[in-house]
Amino acid sequence: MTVAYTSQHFKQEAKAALVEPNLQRALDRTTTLLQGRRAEAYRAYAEFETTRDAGSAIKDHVLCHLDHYLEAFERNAVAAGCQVHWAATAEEACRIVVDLCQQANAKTVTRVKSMLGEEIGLPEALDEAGFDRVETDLAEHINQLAGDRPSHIVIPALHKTQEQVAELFAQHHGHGRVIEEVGELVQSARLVLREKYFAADVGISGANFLVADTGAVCTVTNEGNAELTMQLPRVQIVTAGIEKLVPSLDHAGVLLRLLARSALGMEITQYTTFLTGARRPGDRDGPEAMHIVLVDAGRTDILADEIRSILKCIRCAACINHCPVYSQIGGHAYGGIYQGPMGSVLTPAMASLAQAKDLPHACTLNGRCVEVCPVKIPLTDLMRTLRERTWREQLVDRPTRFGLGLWAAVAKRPALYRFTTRWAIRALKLWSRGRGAIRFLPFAGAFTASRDLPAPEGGTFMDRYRRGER
Amino acid sequence: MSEHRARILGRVRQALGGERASADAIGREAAALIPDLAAVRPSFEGEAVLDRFLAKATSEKVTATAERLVARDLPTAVQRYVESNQLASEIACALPAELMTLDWSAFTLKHVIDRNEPVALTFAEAGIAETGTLVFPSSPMVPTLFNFLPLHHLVVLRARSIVPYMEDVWRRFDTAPLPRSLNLVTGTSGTADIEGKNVRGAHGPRFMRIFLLEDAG
Repeated sequence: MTVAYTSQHFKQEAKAALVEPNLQRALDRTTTLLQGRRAEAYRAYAEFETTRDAGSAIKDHVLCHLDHYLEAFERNAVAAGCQVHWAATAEEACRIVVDLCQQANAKTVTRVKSMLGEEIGLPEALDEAGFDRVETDLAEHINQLAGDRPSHIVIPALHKTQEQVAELFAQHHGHGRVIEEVGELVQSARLVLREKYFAADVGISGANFLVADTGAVCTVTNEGNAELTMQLPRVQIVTAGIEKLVPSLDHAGVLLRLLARSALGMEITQYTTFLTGARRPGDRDGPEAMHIVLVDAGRTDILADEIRSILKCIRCAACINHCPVYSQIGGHAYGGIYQGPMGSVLTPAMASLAQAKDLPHACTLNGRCVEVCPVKIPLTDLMRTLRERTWREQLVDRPTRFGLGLWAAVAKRPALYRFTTRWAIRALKLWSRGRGAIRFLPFAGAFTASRDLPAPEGGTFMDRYRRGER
Repeated sequence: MSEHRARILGRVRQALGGERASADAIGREAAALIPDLAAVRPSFEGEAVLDRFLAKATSEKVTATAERLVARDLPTAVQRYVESNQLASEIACALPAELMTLDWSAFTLKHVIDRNEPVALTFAEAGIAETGTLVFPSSPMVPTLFNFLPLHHLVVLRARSIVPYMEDVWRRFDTAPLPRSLNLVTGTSGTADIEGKNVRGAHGPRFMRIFLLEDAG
């Protein structure tokens, strides 16, 4: 089972998103809030830059010695009583999880939000196998009721307004009331989901970190749903990407400090849990069996590629929250599981470059994502790499190729370039009729349909340079 | 399965290429990544560990409340909390043996927990001053669910077990194995999933009260 990517429709979806009033309201309310919270958290953390350097170096180190850490983790997790499974593909990962659920005679399966789970199509595979799948993360619960995909990797229902959530709960929570207060909405979900935790036979989560030297699985949540999902059922299954390893608890500590601040502006999430094996003799709770599925699903291809550094990503979403493109179009337009800058690099790698070719091009290269990335992933460089690849692989459409070819021909001849740009500026100034912005331009209708082009001021760069404006 | 294992490890080695470093060399490199822990964690020099813990635990973002007392006053303090919140005197309890010898006659203490338990009283092995965090390692004495199911989570913590940083907790496991479940809990269960608005009591406790025991010794 793999996820059906729809990134080939990016342009249409983005256009539709720009005029969807609920989405625009939800995006505006949330991204601004998250940017502010992050900035505040780092103002109070003088050690941010050194921590960031360390975090980045830890992730580089782990990728360089990934084989060593995978084997060490497996050895220690098995010694702690876990069963470790390996899945080279998404299909294999889903097959392992479904088999384990069937072996446990499971009816109800609870899940903690995991982007890897979404990526490999695990929700769909569980549904297809006939299990009663229950998403316990509040946002994923909302998405499950609405039949939506996550639109943000940390706040998956970011695209929904409070009013829309109220309507969903009225319809699905069995009380029929449209609740206006956000606290009461949360309480309504708490009551419904509490029953499900106890009904579950299997609990499935992802992992934020896999600690190699102890075999521990680290999860972070604020809701406490990971703990109830992982402690109550008889069988516990963790699905984790092979890049999630850290050498030791000390290394996890560095990344935990970065993750909570970058994602939500918190010093630490409310719940940080390290799980090491199944129920031990004398324990009064905990699962009878703990399974860990280590998933490749394209990661070793990325490891061998120039875009390897995207595997350092700790899924904090800071790049997404600071992306001017995401904040206009939201997450669904990207047509995959990951959004914003990190999604624009990952989705072409996971689907195909041909299908997701528009994603790396839908970037203003303003570099805010690079500034906020806690593990220093050069996201704009990676997007440039992918852009070049779309060019080389003939994936750029004909008018664009023609236009770029024309520009290159002119740009390579300095005298012609200066002459052309000088006249182009004059023409654009005339066309703007002194309004400072151009609302429509022949041959650039696609650009001006949703944005204004600033009218040029004061001549070409070379003219101004010569006039001594330096 | 082993076929997939070999395939993944083979592809990793192929992608990385070259001679693979020895485990010792990798270990040395890993240790060198954090030469100085002080450089990668917030400094609160000059601030007493206890004061920092209380300030963080009761901050707006963490939302616990706390009171300082000596052990023999614990039952009365718990009773005051229970009464002022109009809760029943039957509470789920998982305290270490030495605290069970106190006078709990005002309560019916039970050692199992229901799915919608109103109150649970548990014991934290340590506190972390950096973030106002409580540390709960699972054990036969301390079931994990007592910390996650109740609406009101009452936590007993000894002042002397508050450490500055999470790494101070990790040091305990340099020689001992990790517990099955090591839970670092920082305040009450929260969510910001609806329009980023902070709401408490998402799945876990909505209220947390810390009873900080300051007995000498």
